[in-house]
Amino acid sequence: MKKFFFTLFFLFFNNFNNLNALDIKEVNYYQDKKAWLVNDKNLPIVAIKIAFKSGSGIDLKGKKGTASLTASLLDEGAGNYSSKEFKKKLADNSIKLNFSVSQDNFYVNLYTLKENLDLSFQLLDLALTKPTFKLEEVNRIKSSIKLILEESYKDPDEIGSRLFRKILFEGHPYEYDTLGVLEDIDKINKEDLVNFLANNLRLDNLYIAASGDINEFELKKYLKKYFQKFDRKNQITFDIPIHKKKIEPKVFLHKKDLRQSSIIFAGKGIARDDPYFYPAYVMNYILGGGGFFSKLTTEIREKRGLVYSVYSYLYRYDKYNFFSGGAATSNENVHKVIKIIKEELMKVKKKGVTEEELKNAKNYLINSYVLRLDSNKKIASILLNTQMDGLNIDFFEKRNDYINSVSQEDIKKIANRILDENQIFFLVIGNPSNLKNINKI
Amino acid sequence: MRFFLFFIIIFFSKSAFAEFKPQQYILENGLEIIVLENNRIPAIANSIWYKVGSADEPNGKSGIAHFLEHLMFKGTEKLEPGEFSQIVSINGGKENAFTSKNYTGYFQLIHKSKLELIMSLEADRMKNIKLIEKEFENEKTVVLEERYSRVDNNPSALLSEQINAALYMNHPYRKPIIGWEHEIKNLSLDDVMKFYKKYYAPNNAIIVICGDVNLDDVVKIAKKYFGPIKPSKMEKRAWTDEPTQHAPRKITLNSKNTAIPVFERHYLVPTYTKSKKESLTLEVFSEIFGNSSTGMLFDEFVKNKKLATSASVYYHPDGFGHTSFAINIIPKKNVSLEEIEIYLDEYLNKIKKKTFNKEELQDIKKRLVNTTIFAQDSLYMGMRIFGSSLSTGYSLKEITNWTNDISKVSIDDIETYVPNIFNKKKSVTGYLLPVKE
Repeated sequence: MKKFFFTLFFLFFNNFNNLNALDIKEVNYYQDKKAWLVNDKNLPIVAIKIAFKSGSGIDLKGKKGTASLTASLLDEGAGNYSSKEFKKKLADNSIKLNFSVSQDNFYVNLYTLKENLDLSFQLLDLALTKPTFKLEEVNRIKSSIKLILEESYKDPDEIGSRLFRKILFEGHPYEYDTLGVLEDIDKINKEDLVNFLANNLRLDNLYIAASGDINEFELKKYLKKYFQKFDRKNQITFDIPIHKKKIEPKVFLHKKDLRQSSIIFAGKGIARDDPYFYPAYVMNYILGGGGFFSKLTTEIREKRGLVYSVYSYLYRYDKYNFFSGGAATSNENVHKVIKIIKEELMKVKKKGVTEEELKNAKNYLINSYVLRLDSNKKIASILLNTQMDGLNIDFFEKRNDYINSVSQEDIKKIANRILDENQIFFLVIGNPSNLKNINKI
Repeated sequence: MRFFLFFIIIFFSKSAFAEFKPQQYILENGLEIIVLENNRIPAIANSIWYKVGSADEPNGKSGIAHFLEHLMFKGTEKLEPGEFSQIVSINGGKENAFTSKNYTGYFQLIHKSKLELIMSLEADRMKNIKLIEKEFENEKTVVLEERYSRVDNNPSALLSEQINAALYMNHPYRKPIIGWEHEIKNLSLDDVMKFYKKYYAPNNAIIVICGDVNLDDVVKIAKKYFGPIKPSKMEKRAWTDEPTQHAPRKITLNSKNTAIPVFERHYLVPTYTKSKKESLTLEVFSEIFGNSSTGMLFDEFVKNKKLATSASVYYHPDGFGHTSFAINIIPKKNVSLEEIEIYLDEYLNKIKKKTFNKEELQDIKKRLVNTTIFAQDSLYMGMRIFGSSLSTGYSLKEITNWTNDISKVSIDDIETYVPNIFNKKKSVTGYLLPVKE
């Protein structure tokens, strides 16, 4: 046990570089297809995360909501099981199996006991290949989805996300909620759901990651048995077009009688394979990416008590990247909060960050990485995302060096590139006072 | 979204614990230490739990416990405001804190080599926080903004707050954890410091650490930093009890901020500490009856009668005295909340007389027992389960025996205790109704 003294708090920082070296196996289960695996026998459980590169972004016009409706119906009856029997089978065997979609992907999550792996894969296979799509269940799930979509015209947060997408993506598929469009839901028929699966569950767009008490041979056996069948030829493939929106520096207001306004902002982002990705990542952490002493939190919450939370993040879709953030504040303070956010962004653009800020950020980002690896679920997610980012398994050895090599100069360069005053918009939901030059939405 | 430092616990589902092997030590000053070894990664979840929550607040001063939780990050004799968090972060740690009706907890997830560092910091702020008026007033507006975000702008949270205040007619659980707005505004620095001095003491706290450490090392460090802190004179918690409730209550909240009508029915039922066997039975029953995809309620309302799009139950056994058995139903379009209510009362009368099937009960108990294994798949979960249970009156043995005790729940128990739940005189019905703008 290392000994520490109060006076040493700021002098002693060790890095735990070696700890990120996960023992990852690549499991070649078919032709050139490989799954990533961490075999960890600490607990008799297994987490498997699967993604097909087809999400709500490829929903056809007039049928927006097809991908998500398909995902929601896979566990509502499959093979000879009714919806009720299927759900009971999962619950009684403590199998957590769910299906979901994002704009770009179709996800399968399986979290199960080792002793139930056979059954888990059988049920997963039935769901993916023999869902019944019984009319009764289809209608029930449709009515749930419609209810949630109606909420995007009433609930302040949902209104915010809907308008945010409208401003950022108008005319592009990313404009729509992954759940779809209210008027389209009833137009989606069984054939659309069947076609979605037939066209999009394919080996050539499949990614698989696993963590837990399962070895290479076992995983290979299951994947061969249940996933080779997705080697399909002559499928109709759909592509999402690149989005090239130039953001206008406007303040949009959706007036609503609320106690507190919410503020969302967005500007230019950065691609994962951009050489300046890590400088941008570190810059965002310093600016508003978590951490109780980010610049935005320090200025807006700690010094002035104007908000409970203020944050920023970098986000990537396959066909568009952006930098974004938000805050919530009483109506009379909205103009102040927007002003300070702008000022802080521009300070980083003009002056960059200090040596100490950079050092502190690196210490956090490097030393906290190991905390992401304490559960099978988290490890499987990281393995899946890393694969989908197009990286190799040696990423885990290199990741800390990437962070370490970021310089103040790098941050200044990337800040200059993406923190562009003329390409940041603000969206306010609420009833702010003193806000000038607004565009009603 | 994304950044919730300081959050408030309202519901936290009880999980199972059979496989955990907790080790315990109690310092001379009364500080209890629990270590759950987990050597998977070289890290720890370190936490301290003070057995004080919103239910301990003096009348008219709601919100103190949670406000104090915020102020614990605002500096001590040795540390500047915010420095605690800065040190944790620079050392690669993540941290957070939470306040409930019964306890206030602080935790850090961090590399194991930082154990001494964080324990020394945690010991420092047990007695030495130092506050100035400006910081205090600043943080008050932060807390108010937190209230507006979580409650005032959120119709279902507002409804819960109203239901809660009606369900408990006399017990301090009726107060919202975050506090009533007008009372938060009136809190003074002196109010909060009095509360701090009274309740933050080694003999009113539990340290729970889950991770790659052993008890001996933890005790050595704890003795060094917490050992010198003198115990305070703690009075036994004595809360006002609920009187006999004679009349069902009904609350309707009309809101412009939602499109989804919601039906709620909350019954006043015993906590684990109040009636152990009964509470364990309710845990099993709420899974049979109220699971959101396989429960009887879901089957009846969503599948058979096609009145609703969702139907589920929540029963939270932790606490002292009574807690709630809460039914939540979202009607299908064009089905009114009144129709839901009329049919529910009819249906619950049948449930009271129902006989249950033994095999089904076995399956349900197996589900609950299996949650034990999944609960160990992170450092955080073990820390959280032991901390919250120990600070709400479970003994260590009761926690580790939970799966055994659950396995013993019988058909007889279910048929004995279930009819007691659905006594309408001890209930509040809540309607959330969308209104057009």
